[in-house]
Amino acid sequence: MTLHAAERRCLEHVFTILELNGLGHTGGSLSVLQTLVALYFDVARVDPANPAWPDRDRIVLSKAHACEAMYAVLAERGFFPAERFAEYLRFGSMLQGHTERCTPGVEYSGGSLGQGICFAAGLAYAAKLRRQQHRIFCIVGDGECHEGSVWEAAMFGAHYRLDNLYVAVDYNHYADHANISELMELEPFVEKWRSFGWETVFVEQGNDVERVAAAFKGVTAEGRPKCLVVNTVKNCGVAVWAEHRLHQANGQLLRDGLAEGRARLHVE
Amino acid sequence: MWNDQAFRKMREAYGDAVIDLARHDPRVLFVSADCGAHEREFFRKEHAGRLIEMGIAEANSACVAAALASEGFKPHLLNFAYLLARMYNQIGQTICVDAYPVRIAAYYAGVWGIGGRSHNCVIDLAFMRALPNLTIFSPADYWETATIVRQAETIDGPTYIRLAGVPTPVVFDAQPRFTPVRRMADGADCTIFCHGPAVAEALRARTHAGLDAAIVSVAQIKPLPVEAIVAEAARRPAVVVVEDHSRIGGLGEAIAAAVAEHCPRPIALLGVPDVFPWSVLGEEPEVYGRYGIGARDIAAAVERVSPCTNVFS
Repeated sequence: MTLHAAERRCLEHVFTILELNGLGHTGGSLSVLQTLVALYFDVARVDPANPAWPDRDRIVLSKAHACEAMYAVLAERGFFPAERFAEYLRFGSMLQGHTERCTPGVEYSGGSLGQGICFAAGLAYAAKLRRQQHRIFCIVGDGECHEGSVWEAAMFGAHYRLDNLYVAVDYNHYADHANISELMELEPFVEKWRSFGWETVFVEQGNDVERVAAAFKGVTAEGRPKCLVVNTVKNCGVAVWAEHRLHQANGQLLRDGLAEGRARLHVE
Repeated sequence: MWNDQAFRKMREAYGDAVIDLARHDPRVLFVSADCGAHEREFFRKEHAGRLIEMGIAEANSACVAAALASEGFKPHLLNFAYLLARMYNQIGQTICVDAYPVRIAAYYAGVWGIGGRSHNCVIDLAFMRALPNLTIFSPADYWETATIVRQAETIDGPTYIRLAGVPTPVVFDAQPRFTPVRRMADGADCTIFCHGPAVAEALRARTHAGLDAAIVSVAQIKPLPVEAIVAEAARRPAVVVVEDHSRIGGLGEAIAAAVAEHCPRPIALLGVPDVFPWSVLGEEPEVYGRYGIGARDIAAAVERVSPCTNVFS
């Protein structure tokens, strides 16, 4: 299956999850989907039949609210059957409102921002300590980079020369309530990461799965952690949601967006 | 009044015990956000890779410790008690949700200390007790600290050990065997529950005021050993709880709830009032008296709740 085919199937899954449950984090899930597809279907080494395989690459979703995208990708990759989507948000289910380790394939139980990247940095240190070769990939949100602990982890990664640590920032330019630049400016963003000692690239077409995959493969500096600032569109692929800059959708707006997104999927 | 007692630092016993664990198990790590004394030196000189220097970055230190534990290491995370609040959300989400066996210890707990109102921490139990999956210990002295560091290592989940920052009176003369609830002395009028350095204070009260009261040290604060506590409370007509912690959220409230539910008794709760404690230079013996948790306060509380004088008799 090509990356684009995987991406389309995952997008369908996201729509299914949203439809089954009538609400969800449309914005951040649709901006980050291609990054997750690039990792799970191309860049990272994982084994759905053995999620705890010791030599697997660890993928930490620090922006754990993008759970619809994560569940879609994990199911499509074979960690669990898509029928389980019906359990999303149900009491005691393995598909919680933020990604948690009760879901097969999830490495980190998140929710409160700025912590998954610290956890990922610890995983990278542990791998170095044991001289293991696996890599750690961590996806953080742009708004999440307002958290001071993100920069504590950034210092830690450079200090310990954790070149097995890859951070992808989903730079979709919107947080829950406003434009990132209005809320708290991150620019010059790439320079910030570079100044912290990270090999950093800007991925202009961050919703192009092939380009994201290529970017992950293009950062190879020895002795330095890697950062991809992935320039994305919140609610990518659904204009009616993107127009309203939605963090979450429900009701008529959710139904309108689903109709539009599906129609576009089937035309393309 | 303190001349009859020797003082030793819990922190020293903690460090010695961690070093001993580290010598025997290469998975033992020390995660330091600019903290530690001789144990830090031990790792730095003998096992540099197993000392994870974090810089003064508490939030990151808690998450890194969780990750190390998730990979099968045995991280020990030491900091000031008041800084646990600075990493509280990290301890909750990243350590406790998935119950990673991180060994948290924190010193400067209690009113004794020169740090002043920012540092002298009497609220740690209030917020740490609220975290699911976390086991909490409060050793009575230097000797029991070593016992508890070893006990914590056997627990499959996160642990927190509460330590004083200054030398405190010893109540044992060697490392005791671990027990969550220990009767240190017996008596008929009243059961005095206590933990940490307040155990020495309660023993002092019993001796100097000639109290006919049992002194019961509770070294395991959470999960609360309810059965053992109720068994002790049920043996005598009244209960006093004394602790070097805020009256809000400490052992006092926990025991009051257990006693109210299982064997109602007249009860007096002695804890630090709702204030930030001032600096205390040296081993000022009467500092507990200033906060209403000294030997005289304990004796008065026993008198208040005991059957010969209390309003329920």
